[in-house]
Amino acid sequence: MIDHDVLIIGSGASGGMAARELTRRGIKCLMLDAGPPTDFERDRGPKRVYDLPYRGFGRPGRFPHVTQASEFNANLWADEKQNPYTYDPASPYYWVRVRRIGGKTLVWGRASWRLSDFEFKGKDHDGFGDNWPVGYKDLAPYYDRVEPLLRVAGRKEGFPQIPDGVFLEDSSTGSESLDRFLAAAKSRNVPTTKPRRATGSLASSVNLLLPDALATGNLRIVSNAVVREITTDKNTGLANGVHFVDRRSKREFHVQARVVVVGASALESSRLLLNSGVANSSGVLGHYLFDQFYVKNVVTCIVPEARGGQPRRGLMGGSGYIPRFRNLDTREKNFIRGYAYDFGSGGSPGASYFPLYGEALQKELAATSGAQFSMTTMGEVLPRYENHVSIDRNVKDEWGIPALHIQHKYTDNEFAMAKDSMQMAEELCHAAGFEVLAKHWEMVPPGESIHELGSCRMGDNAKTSVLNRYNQTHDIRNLFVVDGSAFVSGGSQNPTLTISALAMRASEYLAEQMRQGEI
Amino acid sequence: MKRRAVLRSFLALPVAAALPSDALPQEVKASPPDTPKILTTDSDSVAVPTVGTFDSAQFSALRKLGEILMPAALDTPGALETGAPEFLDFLIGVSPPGRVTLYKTGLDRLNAEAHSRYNRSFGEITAAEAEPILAPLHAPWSYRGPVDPFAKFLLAAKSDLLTATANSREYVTVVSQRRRGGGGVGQYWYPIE
Repeated sequence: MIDHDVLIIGSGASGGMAARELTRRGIKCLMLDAGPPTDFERDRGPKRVYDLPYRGFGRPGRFPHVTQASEFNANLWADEKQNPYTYDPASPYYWVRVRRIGGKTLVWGRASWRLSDFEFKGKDHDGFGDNWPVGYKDLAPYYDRVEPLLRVAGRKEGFPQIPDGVFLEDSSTGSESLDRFLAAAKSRNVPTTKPRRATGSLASSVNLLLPDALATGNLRIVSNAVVREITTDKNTGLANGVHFVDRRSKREFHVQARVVVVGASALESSRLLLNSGVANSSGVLGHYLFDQFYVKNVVTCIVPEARGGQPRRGLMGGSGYIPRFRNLDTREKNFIRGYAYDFGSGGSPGASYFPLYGEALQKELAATSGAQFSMTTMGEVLPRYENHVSIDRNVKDEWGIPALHIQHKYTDNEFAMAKDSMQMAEELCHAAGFEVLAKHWEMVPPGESIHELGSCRMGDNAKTSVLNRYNQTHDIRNLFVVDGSAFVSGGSQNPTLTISALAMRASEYLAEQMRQGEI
Repeated sequence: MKRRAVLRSFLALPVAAALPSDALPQEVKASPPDTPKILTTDSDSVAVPTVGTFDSAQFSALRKLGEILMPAALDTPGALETGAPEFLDFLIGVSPPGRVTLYKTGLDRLNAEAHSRYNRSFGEITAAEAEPILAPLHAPWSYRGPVDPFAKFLLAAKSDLLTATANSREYVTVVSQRRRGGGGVGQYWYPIE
C-alpha cells in the first residue's frame, strides 16, 4: 500500500524544503521525523529561575556535550543518554541535536550568508581538497528564492566572498563605538557589513516551509518515527522503504516508498545510510566530515568611555560581521582559506573575566556594565578523509539502533587560523580605542558550532563521492540526501542558507525526473 | 544605577530580563470552578534544606567563602542570605564525581591553609586574613583556567556562589521590585512525552 510518491526523512531546513518543493509540484509526500511536534502554547512558558529544581544550573551531567543547553531549554535538546555516540577520549566531539518537528531550525542562529566560488571552487584557488560539482552560478537562482522564504534581512555590499542576495531592508541601528570599530577595520582594508539574518519571531521550517507543504494536501507527517534502516529491493537494488520505530512505544513499522529523500541532518543521515549498508560503493560514506571552528569571544573589550555603569545614549549598541578577508587576493604563509567574525557592542562582561571578588568585583562589574565590545571567530575547517564517522556496533541508542563513532580533529591549518584571528581582532580593537579585557585563540571542540557538514559528499566521480551534483546517490537513483552532509567544503559562512538552496535544487531536479519517468 | 548594573551582570539572563514580569502565569481569578488551579509553594520557602555532601568543617569553609566572595550589600542579599552554600551542598552532591572531589579537596585546603597560617579553621578567620589564601583568584583570566586544582576550585566556587546567589528567590525578588520587568524569568521548555 503506497499512497505517497516520496518518503522524506527529517523535517528541518532540508526535509522541510524538500516537502515544500515536491508537494507544490503535485507530488505526494510522507514525512517521518524522530521527534514530536511542538505546541508553542503548551510546550513552553515563562518561569522564574528560582522555581527551577537546580536554580538555573541544570541537572549536573545531563548535557556534557551541549553547552547551549540551560535549565530553561534543556528539554529542547536531544537527550544524550537516549542518543549516545562515541569518540576517542583524546578527541572529543560535541554532537548537538534537536529531535522535534522542525529540527534545529527551532533554535538556529539565523545567520544567512551565501557561499561563493571561493568555496565551490576552492581547489582551483589553492589546490587543496576538491571542488564542488556545482558552482556559484548553479546555486545563485536558488539562493534568490530561499532568501525571501526565510525573510533574510541584510545589506548589499558587493563583496565577492559573500555574494549579495534578495534581502529585506536591514533596520538595525549602530552606535558611536560600532562606528569607531568600522573605521578601524576600514583603515586596514578589513571588510565589514551588517548581519544577514532570517527575521520574524520564529524562522523555522515549522512556520516557513511545512505549512505551505501541508496546504497543498500532498503532505502527511508522521511524528515520533525513529528511522532504523532504509530498505532496498533485492532485484532492482532500488530503495523501497524504511523500517522505523515509534519513539514512545518502540513498536516497529515498515513503510514503502518509491523515492526516499533523507534530510535528517548531516551526521544522522550518514548514520542511517551506514546502518542500512547502502550508497557506499565508493567507500567514502562517512568520510570528509568537517564543521566550522569557533573561537568564542576571541577578544572581549571594554569601551573606555562607557565605563561608569551608565553609557551615554548612542555610544553603545549594534552588531556586525567581517566576512573572510584572508587568502582572497593574497596568500597567507601559515594557512589556507579563511575566517569570519561576528562582533557586537553592548552587554556586560562576565564576572569570570575579572581577577577580583567581593566588593571590589561588584564595583568593577557595575563600572563595566553595558560597556562590552566582543568578537567571535568562525573559521573554515578543511575537509579531510581521516575525519569521519563509522558505526559503533557496541553502542546502541534507546531504540536499539547502532550509534555513531565520530573521529574529528582540528589540524595545524585551523590552529594557525585561530591564532591569526586573535591577533587581528586585538589589533582592530586597539585601533578602535577599546581596552582588551581578555583574548584567546582556543577553539571550541569540534561539533560545538552545530555546523557539522560533509560525510556524504557530492561529486561528479562516483568513486570519490556518495552523491551526484543533484544530491542523488550515485548507487541508488531513487535515494537522495539533501542536508549538510552533501557539502564538499564549508567556508566560514553559516550553512543553513546553502543547505536550503541545495535541498530546493535537488527537489526540483527530483520532481522533473519523476515527471519524465526517469525515477 | 550602579547597583542595578551589578545585578544585571550577576544575573546574566538576557532572555529572562527581556520578559515583562506580568508574563508569568497569574494567580487564579476567573478559572472555571470545575478546573481550579491549586496554588502551591516551594520547599525553600517553608523548610530548611538538609545538608550532607560536605562535613561540618567543609561546610563552614564554604559559608565563609560565600560571605567573602559574594557579600551582602546595603540593598541586596549576599550568598549567606540567599542560602547559596546550602544550595551548593545539594548541587555538588548530585554532580559528577570529579566535581565533588574538586570541592571537597578545595574546602579541605582552605581549612588546612587557615590552620597553617592562623591556627584556626577557614570559617573562623576574617576576610582580611583570607586574602593570601585566596590569592589565586587574582590571577588573570585564561580560557582554559588554571591547572592547579586549588585555583580551579576557587574559580569554580566563585562562579557557582555568584550564580546561586543571583538566581535565588531572595535576590531575584529584590531586583524585581527595583527594575521594571524584573529578572530571572526565562522561557521554560516542558519535557516531551
